[in-house]
This record gives sequence, C-alpha cells and structure tokens, in this order.
Amino acid sequence: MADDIVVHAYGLVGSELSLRLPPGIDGAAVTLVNAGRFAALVSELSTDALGEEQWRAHEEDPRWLQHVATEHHAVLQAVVDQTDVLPLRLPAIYRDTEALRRVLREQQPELEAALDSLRGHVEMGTKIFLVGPSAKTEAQERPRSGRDYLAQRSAEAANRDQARVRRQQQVLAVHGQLAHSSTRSTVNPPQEAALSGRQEPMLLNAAYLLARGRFEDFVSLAEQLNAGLAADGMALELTGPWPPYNFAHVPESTSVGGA
Amino acid sequence: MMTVHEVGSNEDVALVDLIDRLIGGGVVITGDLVLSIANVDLVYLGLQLVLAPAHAVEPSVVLHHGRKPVEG
Repeated sequence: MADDIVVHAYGLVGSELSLRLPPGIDGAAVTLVNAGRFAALVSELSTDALGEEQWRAHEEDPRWLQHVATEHHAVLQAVVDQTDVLPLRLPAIYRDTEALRRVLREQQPELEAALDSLRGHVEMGTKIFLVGPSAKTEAQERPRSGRDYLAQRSAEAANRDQARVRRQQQVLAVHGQLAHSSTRSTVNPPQEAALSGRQEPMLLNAAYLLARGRFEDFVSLAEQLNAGLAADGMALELTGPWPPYNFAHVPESTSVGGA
Repeated sequence: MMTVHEVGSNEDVALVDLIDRLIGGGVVITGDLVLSIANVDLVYLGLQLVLAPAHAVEPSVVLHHGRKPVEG
C-alpha cells in the first residue's frame, strides 16, 4: 500500500476533455480522475510534501501556504483559459484516487449541479478606489470671525457628506450595471490597505460571474462606467478572467449531507 | 485610468486578490482525510501575515480577522 502518496485535487472539469495540463504543485504532473460526467484535476504528491501532517505542521507557516495556494491557483487558471472549472477549497487532499473517486460518486448530483451552474462562465473582479480629492475643496476666504470660521467648517462638513452620499450612489449604480450584464454577482469586504498596498480607500470589491461570450462587452461597459467615476475622483479596476472561486457553491437546496 | 489586469497563468496575480477568492471560495468535497485544524481561515490568516509588512499593521489588525469597512 502506497502510504507515502497523497492525492491533491485542484478542481473539477467536464469529463472527456482533452486539456493542456500545466505542471502542478512542486512540479508534479496534473492528471484527470474521471467520475461520471466530470473529472477531477489531481496531482499525486508525497505525503512529506502535502500530506495531512504537512498541513498541520505548516498551518502557521504563511510562506508554505502562499506557495501551495499560488500553485493550486496556477493550475486552475491554466485550465479556466481552456474550459469551465469548479475550483476546490484548500486543503483538498485524499488518501488515494480511489478514495477521491468514491466521494465524487457519493456527491455526484450536487457537484454536477455546481459545475453546471458555471458552464460557459468565468469570474471577473472589480474594484473601485477613491483616488481624487474626497470633496471639492474650493479656495476659502479667510474667516473674518469665529462665527464665520464655524460656518465655514459646517459648510465643508455638509459638502463632504453630500459628496460621500453621491459617491455611494454612483458606486451602487456601477455595481448594478455590471451585475445586470453578468449572470451572478457578489460583493466582498474591501481589502485592507496594509494587504493590498494601496493607500486609496476601496469603495467596492465585487466579483461577477460572466458568460464567456460577454467578455468584450463587459470590459467596454466597465471602461464606460470608469469614465463616469473618474469625473468624481474614483477609479475602477478590472481583474480576470478568473476561475469562478466566488461562485463555486454546492446548491443549498441539495447541500452535501454529512459534516 | 482604467486598467484591466488579465490574470494569466503566470505568477503576476496579486496575492491579496487570490486570498480574497480563497476565503470561502471553492467547493468542499469532504474526503477521508479530514483536516479540521488546517482550514481556509488559517490559510487566510497566514497569508495576511505574509502580505502585511510588520511595521504597516497594528498587531490587532492582523490577529483580528475582521476587516474594517472603508468609509465611502
């Protein structure tokens, strides 16, 4: 019994596809394990590299996790450029391919439904940053009295509030239009500046499940919306196409039993 | 102003964007190896530590998982 091997699964694709499969984690070969209408993308790795013990040993080792996450993603990214893929959440390790095949079979209807819900789609990411002045600051006259000073301060505060409300409305409208031209959408918490390395406040961090055929239209729409945002000191950034991480869910009505 | 980052198979993907997607992203197929400790939150927490230069983040921000909403 080959106890020294663990199977890492990256994601699911339709079966009977001929794919150009990239190298996987630590350069391991990526192969397909067929299970009915779909197949899992897997690598066989040494338990010394990615076994249960290694996950436990490295759970507080960010560089190890970064390495695994980045290489897991690289495989999914290479595949989503060729076909639809249902990403798996980390950690995704199985004792052997037979064990993996067994759980795939047990959860087949739910997994097929999850993969079907992503057919012909990719994920696009959109972020909106506040890049310009947070409010129009017109040159103020020097206050002639304490009362003038307070009145000016109060007017400035009111202007800032109005500008903020207007920006919020614009951001919501932009999200609404992007959501309308995509199949599904989700809004995530803004990224922290310390993590993103961006000092500008992030006003929107959203993901859209987009039909592949609508990619060009979506990009043009985003460009057009960005022009409107730019006038008010905001900038829109698009990333993608991504594997549809944000939309990889087993349908709730038929959730996988057993926890 | 507009920038479209094509996320290629190369390694130019921003780690923070990847973390965003690994949090709660992807389906869980429960198998025979049950990793209850090494879960995705820990992956996320760990990666936060990589990304955030020590001087740039209050310890409480790193340790507390929550993200402050940005005033819009």
